[in-house]
Amino acid sequence: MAKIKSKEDYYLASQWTLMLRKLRKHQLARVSLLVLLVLYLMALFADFLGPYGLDEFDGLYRNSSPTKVHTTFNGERVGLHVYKLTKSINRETFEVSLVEDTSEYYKIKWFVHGTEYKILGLIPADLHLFGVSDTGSNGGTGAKIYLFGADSLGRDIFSRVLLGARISLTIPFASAIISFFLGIAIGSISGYFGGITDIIIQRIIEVIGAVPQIPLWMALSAAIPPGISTIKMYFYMTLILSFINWTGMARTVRGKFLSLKNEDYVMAARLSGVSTWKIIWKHLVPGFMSYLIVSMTLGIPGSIVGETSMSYLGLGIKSPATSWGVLLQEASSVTDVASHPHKLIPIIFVTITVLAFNFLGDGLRDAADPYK
Amino acid sequence: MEENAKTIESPPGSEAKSGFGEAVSNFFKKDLVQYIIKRLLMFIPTLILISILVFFVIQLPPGDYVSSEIAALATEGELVDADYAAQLRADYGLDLPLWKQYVKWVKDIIWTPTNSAYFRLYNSHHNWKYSFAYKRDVWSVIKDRLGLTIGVTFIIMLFQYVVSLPIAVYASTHQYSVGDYISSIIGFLGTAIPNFILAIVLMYLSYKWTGNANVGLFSQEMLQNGVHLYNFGEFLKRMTIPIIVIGTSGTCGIIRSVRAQMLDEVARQYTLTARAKGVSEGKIIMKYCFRAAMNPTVSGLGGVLSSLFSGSTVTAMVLNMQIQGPVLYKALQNQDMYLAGAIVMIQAVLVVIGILLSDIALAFLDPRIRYSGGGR
Amino acid sequence: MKKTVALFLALVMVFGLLACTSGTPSAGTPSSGTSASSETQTAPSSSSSAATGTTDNPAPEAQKNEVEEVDVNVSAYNESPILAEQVAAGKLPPVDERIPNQDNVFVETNDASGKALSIGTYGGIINQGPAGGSWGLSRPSLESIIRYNTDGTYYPNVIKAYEHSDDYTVWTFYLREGMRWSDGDDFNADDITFWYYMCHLNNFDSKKSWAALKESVNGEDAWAKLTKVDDYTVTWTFVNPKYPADFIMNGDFKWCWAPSHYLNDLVPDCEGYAWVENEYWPSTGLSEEQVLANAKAKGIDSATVKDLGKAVAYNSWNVAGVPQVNSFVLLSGTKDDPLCILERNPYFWKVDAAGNQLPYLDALHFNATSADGQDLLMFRSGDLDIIEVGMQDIASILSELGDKVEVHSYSSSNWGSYQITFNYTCKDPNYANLFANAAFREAMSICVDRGQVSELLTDGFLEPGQCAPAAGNWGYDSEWEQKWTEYDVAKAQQLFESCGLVKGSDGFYTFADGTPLLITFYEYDGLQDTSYPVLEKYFKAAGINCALKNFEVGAFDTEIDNNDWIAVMGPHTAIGGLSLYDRVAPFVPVQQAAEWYGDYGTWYGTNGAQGVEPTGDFAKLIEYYEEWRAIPDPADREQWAEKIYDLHKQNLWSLAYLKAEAKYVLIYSNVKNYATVLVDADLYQYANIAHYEVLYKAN
Repeated sequence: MAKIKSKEDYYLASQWTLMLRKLRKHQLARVSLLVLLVLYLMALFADFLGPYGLDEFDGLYRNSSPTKVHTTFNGERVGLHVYKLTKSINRETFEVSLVEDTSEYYKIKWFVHGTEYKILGLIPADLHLFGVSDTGSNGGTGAKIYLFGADSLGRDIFSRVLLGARISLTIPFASAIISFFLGIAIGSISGYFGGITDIIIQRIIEVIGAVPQIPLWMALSAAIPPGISTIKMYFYMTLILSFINWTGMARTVRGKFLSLKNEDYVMAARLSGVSTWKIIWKHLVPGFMSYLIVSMTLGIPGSIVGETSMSYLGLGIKSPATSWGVLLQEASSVTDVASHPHKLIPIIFVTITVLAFNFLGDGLRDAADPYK
Repeated sequence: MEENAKTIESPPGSEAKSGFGEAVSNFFKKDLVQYIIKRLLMFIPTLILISILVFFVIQLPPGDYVSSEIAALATEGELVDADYAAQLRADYGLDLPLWKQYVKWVKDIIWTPTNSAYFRLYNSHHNWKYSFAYKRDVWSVIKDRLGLTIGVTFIIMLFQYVVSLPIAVYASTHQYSVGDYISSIIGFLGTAIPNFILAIVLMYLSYKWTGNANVGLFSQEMLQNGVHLYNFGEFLKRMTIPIIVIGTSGTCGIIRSVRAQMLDEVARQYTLTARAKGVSEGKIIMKYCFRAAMNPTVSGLGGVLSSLFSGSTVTAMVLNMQIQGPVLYKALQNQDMYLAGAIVMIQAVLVVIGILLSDIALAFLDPRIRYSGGGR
Repeated sequence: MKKTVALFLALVMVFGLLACTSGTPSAGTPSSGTSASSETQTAPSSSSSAATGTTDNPAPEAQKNEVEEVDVNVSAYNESPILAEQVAAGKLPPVDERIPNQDNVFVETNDASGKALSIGTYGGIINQGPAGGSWGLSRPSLESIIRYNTDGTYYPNVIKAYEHSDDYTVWTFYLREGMRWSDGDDFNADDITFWYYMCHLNNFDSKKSWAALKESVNGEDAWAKLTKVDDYTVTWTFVNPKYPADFIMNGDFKWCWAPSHYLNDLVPDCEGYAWVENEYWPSTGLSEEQVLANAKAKGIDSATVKDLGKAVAYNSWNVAGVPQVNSFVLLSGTKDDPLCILERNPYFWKVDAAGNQLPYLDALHFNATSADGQDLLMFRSGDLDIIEVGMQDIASILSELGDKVEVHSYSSSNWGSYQITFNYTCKDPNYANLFANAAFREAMSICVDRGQVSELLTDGFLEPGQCAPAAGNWGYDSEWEQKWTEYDVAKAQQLFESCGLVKGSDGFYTFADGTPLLITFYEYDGLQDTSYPVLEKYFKAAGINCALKNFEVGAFDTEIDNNDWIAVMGPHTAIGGLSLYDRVAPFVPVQQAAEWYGDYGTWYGTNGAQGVEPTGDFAKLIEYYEEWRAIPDPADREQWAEKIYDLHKQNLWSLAYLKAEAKYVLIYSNVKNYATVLVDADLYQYANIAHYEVLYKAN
């Protein structure tokens, strides 16, 4: 409380201000908030930050490990540069060896023009934060810079992680918001009216909780027409996820309603003729909004991990569109783990994101408690 | 998410210190008994609804069992004529309208038909009907795995609580300390790393370090001779990876909910009072706060159980565990609908029982909760 | 080309007929198996001049496997110590009583590639991955009527010898006297008549449609008459000539026996499975309920007679307790168990060159797995001895295990990899007309840079190629293999325009009438998910808009059968194969099977009741096929096969982008006698050609 300047300030502060203040005390939560902010910004500017696009294949760089960045060429300081690879295969042992061709170097350049994309899906652009020069010091071509290495089609994992974040960070978020509203609406009806309505809604929640998700996903991936855009695919997935996830929120809301609906202030409102919906929205819901937000925050990481499992089963987003789940699925073969461990780099992003959401949720929970 | 929800919603019990005897007598109060009976009766419509939904959801993906069987044969090089498919569909009753198939299914679960013409071909001996893919009784397919599933689930749950409770208590009594952060990160890590990839990496590392990848729960020797005392050590060794992978994926939820509850309790009046009276800090934590904080945890047990039971399908597949999940997935894939239906129904019943048990447990532990007005 | 064809046919087919001219039938002297009787015993007397399957025919040396000479000495039999113990304990009769005498026993001397086998030691287990589908357990264990070598030659296997009358209307099978079922019961002519009349003709095995025993008489389907001549001789009599390609070489016709002593109370006489009149077996008079109850008493759980029949009279190796003639048998459990064990058949009727009863191994273990990659880990751990691997997985295992393992390969009979095919019977005439135009197919083929595709998908291991027979296989033609394989987008676009396609404002072609062109490739089980993005990039760059849709394999086949599709990437039943003798359906539209002929196949398969009547070159395929079937002389028949291949070469109904990938098997080096180079084909029953009965584990 040291940071609160005066008592008056404290008493007049809105619930949100108080929460933010208390959030500061949870160090990890603050760090998490920052990390998430960075991740979302990275997703937003993925095209710019990543040097390559989603379908830039390169057979030469297939499964290559992260590109080494050098500073000296033949003992001379020539600035940051990379070498092109040369590939040789052994038909007896099936070994593929990729070695750097150190006969010439390719400079790393900042703000280069490359694959075209649209900023925020609107403004066409082709500027990338970094890249390698098209021609080498001896006039060769074809070097690439793959910070996280390449996947089995020679695509840049770094760019794909950034581009995949767009889907992996937003689908769970969007579906959490939809289930948030669904949950509040249905939960409040159930809790406020009680009786037969409540019983029916509770049974529906139980039923939905009992229905297996996998066949739903199977049916969905079969029902989606071929050749649809990623955006639409995205929309369907969000919808399905929210349909499954609202039940938890509804149970929470209902529980709160059961305990709050007989409070004096609600009674007073009712006696003075305030309409039912107004009571719900103006008087009841704000009373535990903070709890709901926390609950929502904590639901997101589960969905992120869930999406990776679905991708593992081959349901959901499909290559060349990408998500972190797709990237992990592509790295999930034993041979990849044994020979191309760099493909596991996307795990770090999933892990950090999930941890960050969890800690942020924890911090918010601590902060949301108005009695402390 | 279920557990989180509970954490937040359930009011902490300031009367938690009320004696055990009181709780027992409370438990047998008439309204509680009535409540339980009412909830049990509610089972019937819920299960009917679930069975309808399950039956239709299972058949949502295109194709039916016959098409997948014929395709599987074609993959092996055996081509069958179109008549064969039609006959097979007729034999299995797959050519009937969906609602008739549903009625047949439910009827067969409830009682095994004898000589009625309608059920002529599915005669007497099939409980829960017939698995097309395994070509035998559904129950015989399930029962081998059911025991193992329950056993494995139990071991993993035990592990979850053993690991997560100390972390939670520590984290809550040392809030915002470095120890809080580190233990929480460790506790959360299992949830944060996707299970299937963790499983693959651990199996590979196991091979690298010990020369044995420990794929599956049983060595070949155990599969031939059964699990006995002398090879139980080997079984536990093989349980390590599943425990780490599935177990740690659930610790996060428990740690978070117990930690949150503990924090609430520590700030309560009675804690302050006890502390003022000079009760030792350890005793306060363990005897009062922890007990009170366990309420929602216990109430979440049912949910945890059922989610473990059904939620580890992908991991079980990756680790080659002979539990229900992979069988269910396979059955869903090749539309072996009676097998899939039976497994899903068993899981659904467990979920519903889990919810009921957790509600009852909550009522038992927290006497303030009222049973009137439906629901909780 | 003609020369190749001639050589091959001479090789695959002729030997039997050449032997015919000698007039003295002899029992087989196959490259990898010898009936000990061959030198000493003359064949059973027969009214007709007989031809017996042998390989000692003057086939051209270049095409033939080199068969290493082996000294055979089977004057006395040895057996596994485990069996010897059981004999000593009185649980099993002595080995001499269990297997045929020297005149009738099968002596296995060479592997399928002609290499001499080493004499093995008894004991040990071979661990493999999951048993798989209904044929999984049969691959390493099934013993069929005849058996092939990798060069296409074949020899009698379960039967001791066969012959046919001059006019090919009567075929005689000679059985091995003293041969027994795996439960010790005699194996004799009654088991053949029982199978034919009580299991096959009443459709109990669901396979009455087998072409090998069926013919057309006055436009009606008719079936052979089977006669028991004596306990070890049966004859099949047809009205019309029945040529080898349609009979003994027919890939479906793998067996013609069933254990009468075991199955007798499982065969019903009821609607759908009515008793077929014959002089050998009376009706069982059993109802459906009774046979299902009898089956239950034997531990076989079936819901319907159809399931029961297919289980016990067709894929019977999957049912514990059903006696077999195979090398390894299932004694308990099912193929779906976590550990499925096939045990040595103690009555197995083959011996090695030193008279040791086969198989050497005590058992084959099949370990269930539930996800890809588990077998790779289990192999590394030493839990599995043999696994099938993809090319990309070999290097990392070899680098870890070194000399402890070996790579064996099965050369592929596929016509190229990364195939696409189009629906020539598409319901939308726009698409059907477009696909019918060879220029369109050529354009789709040349708009892809095969060199890059090879680098991207296989690191350059698979070379660019076309949908054509692979080098070394029958009908190989280098010109065909390189047809339409150059990379030329400009030419492709010209060709697209010559097909009447018009480029729209979005850069994609539309039909002349302005309707958008979208080629939706169907795939199954996500198998093309990796390769599709690469090909898509080339198609789209050339102006062809395309998409991919995935199905579970069953749903995929349903879509194809319903003719609701436009194009397929990675067909389920791909075009072509080893040769016309392998399976006909992938070559010619004769049944609802392969994607590339869409509904044309249905038309022939249903005698014109359904499907679309083939026209043009599709009709010619059928015409040539009919000719091919009806010619007894293989040298004459060859020209028709050649014509069929020529049509394929002209049309390229399916396109492929790279050459076919071989199948690779990794095995631990202590497993011996596994041939180094094999051929992967349905005709050879895939892994069956590895001859598991002769594998052994060196210490």
